[in-house]
Amino acid sequence: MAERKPLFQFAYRRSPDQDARESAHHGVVIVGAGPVGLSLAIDLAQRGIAVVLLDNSDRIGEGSRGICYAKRTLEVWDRLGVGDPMVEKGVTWRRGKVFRSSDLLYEFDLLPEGGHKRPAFINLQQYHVENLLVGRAAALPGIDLRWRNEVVDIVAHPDGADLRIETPDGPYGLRADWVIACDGVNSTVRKRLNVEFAGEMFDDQFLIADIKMSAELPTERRFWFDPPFHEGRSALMHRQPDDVWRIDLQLGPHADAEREKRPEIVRARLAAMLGHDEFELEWVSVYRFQCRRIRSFVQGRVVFCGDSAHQVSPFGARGGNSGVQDAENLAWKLALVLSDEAPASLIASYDLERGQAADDNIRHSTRSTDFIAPHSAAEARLRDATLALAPHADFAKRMVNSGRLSTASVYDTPLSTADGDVWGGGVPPGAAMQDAILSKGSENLYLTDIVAPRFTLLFAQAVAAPKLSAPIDLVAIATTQGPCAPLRDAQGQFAARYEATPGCGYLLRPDGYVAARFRDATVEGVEAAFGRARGKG
Amino acid sequence: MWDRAHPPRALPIGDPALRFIMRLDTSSRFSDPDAAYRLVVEAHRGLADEESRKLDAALILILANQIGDLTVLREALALSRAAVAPVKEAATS
Ligand SMILES: Cc1cc2nc3c(=O)[nH]c(=O)nc-3n(C[C@H](O)[C@H](O)[C@H](O)COP(=O)(O)OP(=O)(O)OC[C@H]3O[C@@H](n4cnc5c(N)ncnc54)[C@H](O)[C@@H]3O)c2cc1C
Repeated sequence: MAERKPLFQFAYRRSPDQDARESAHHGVVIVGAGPVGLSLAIDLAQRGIAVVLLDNSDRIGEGSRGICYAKRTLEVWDRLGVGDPMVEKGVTWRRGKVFRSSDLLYEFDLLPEGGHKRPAFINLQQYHVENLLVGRAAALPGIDLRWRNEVVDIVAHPDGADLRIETPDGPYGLRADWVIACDGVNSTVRKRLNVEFAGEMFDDQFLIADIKMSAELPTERRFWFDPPFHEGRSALMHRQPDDVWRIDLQLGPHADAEREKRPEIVRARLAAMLGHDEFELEWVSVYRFQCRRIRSFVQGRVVFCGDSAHQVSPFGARGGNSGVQDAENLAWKLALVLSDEAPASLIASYDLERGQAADDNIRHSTRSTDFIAPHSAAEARLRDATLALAPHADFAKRMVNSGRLSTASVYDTPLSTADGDVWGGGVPPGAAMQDAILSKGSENLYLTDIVAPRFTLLFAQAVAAPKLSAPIDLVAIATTQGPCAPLRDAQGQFAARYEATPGCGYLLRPDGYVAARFRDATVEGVEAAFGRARGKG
Repeated sequence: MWDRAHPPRALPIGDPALRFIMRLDTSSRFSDPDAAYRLVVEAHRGLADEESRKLDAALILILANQIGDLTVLREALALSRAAVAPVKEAATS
């Protein structure tokens, strides 16, 4: 297999900061222009915060890593102005099949209901994701993206940090009030600050191959336990755009990774699986997966986001997805703190909320990885019994774990106001908003498009809406039972998904999470919850 | 048909008609099945294989007693046998 050429190449440009006699001073410096650093930079820039974004490379596309992007991440990217190109370029899917040997054990559907703008998942090569984000970042004022700027050292102070950066023109320094480390799993910032990155390494090795072939297969996730073409191990297959397919084969703990990467060996394994050898190898790698995190994502004025803060095994597609959701959690909080609209302590809630999400992701991906590659003979017996029972007993089917796919985490957070009213369903405080189709005149609109990335009160129209003096957007929706409003819940999806009755209100945070909800939304109730959600509670 | 005192040794599992006469509940009863599975996995961590087998045996007896119903236990045993050793079963019956 020939060395792959980079797909996208960017240019190093000298910054005036490199000629400054003393380190130039910036409000926010983001280290690392991967999917997480780029998403964060775009979000902050859209909120009027200027950022310097440093990346040690100047190209993307030498190999793919992430491919599956979840509905919640697509909703974040919608707000960042890149949702449409991502979905257009990607392949959309929501179904999966799990096989044991050659028998279908079960099928799942990740989004069986309608009324959602975004699908359960798209598959898209990570280099396309990054390239679309780079394009968006370049189109925004306020993002100073510097390629081939490698952070080699950092010294933290109580009110910021000093960075040392290597470039093709030699080193220079920068001083920042806030440094956001989005420099990935091998984070230099984390290492230089001696922050411990602890967790579990799994014994098994996995071959990950991207191949090009034309195949008439449905767009769905396929997973095999003990398939006839790869006995005693597991296999996973995913479609990507441009006739590219991702195949993931378990190799066991003792495989010789160098040998396994040899094209003739890979081709033989894949030919056995596919029943033909009409494919090209795009990219091959052998991984040993890990689940790790740092204890606190906020270390004074240095904040960790994405893989620098936490790492998961890929079963469940939780790595990139959770990193992008870290970025959206941090962006609005940092923007409020920098504009003095919230106390600096609001940043602590980023650590709390995204720490919970990381624990959740690590828990799920550890369980999946251990199910796929059991640790001991006892665990293997338990796993095999589950697979044997699954065709006969529903309970066992539910325990078959080939990866639990990424969904938005729910936060147990002091920014939420606990329910004071009785709710049987709906979206509880700490959970992400649900989409729904609404009507305006003859037009159909999605709720996720209507709500701007600011504090918003979703109000089920009653005789009068609360007259808010706080900076909260009001989105009034006429339910079938209540009085008129331009926006109508014609299909009843808002009422069903939010258990909405006339007069009730949901206060959404700028990241679309529910901060509070009221059966009878009053100015005092909503504004108290608004204060709490900004860390003033 | 179904004689409670002398049930067949192996259930013809997969026959939907059996749902109506079986007492064993095979529907998913945990709100978080992964968590339940994980508890069992973790109970085995750090044990030698022989100890693991002993743990399984003890667990079976404890859970059987908790069920406290011979009919259900019989059905559970028949289902497990049919799932993991269907060939042997056919040979002996
Ligand atoms: C095989 C595989 C499959 C995966 N599948 C999925 C999936 O389907 N879905 C999913 O969501 N996730 C998936 N992931 C995880 C996903 O790839 C990562 O979680 C994601 O890349 C993390 O993004 P990031 O921006 O935090 O870090 P990275 O993508 O690693 O980006 C870090 C950036 O920082 C730069 N950098 C590093 N050090 C420095 C420095 N000192 N100075 C300046 N710049 C620096 C790097 O050049 C890079 O651009 C998968 C991972 C693997 C390995």
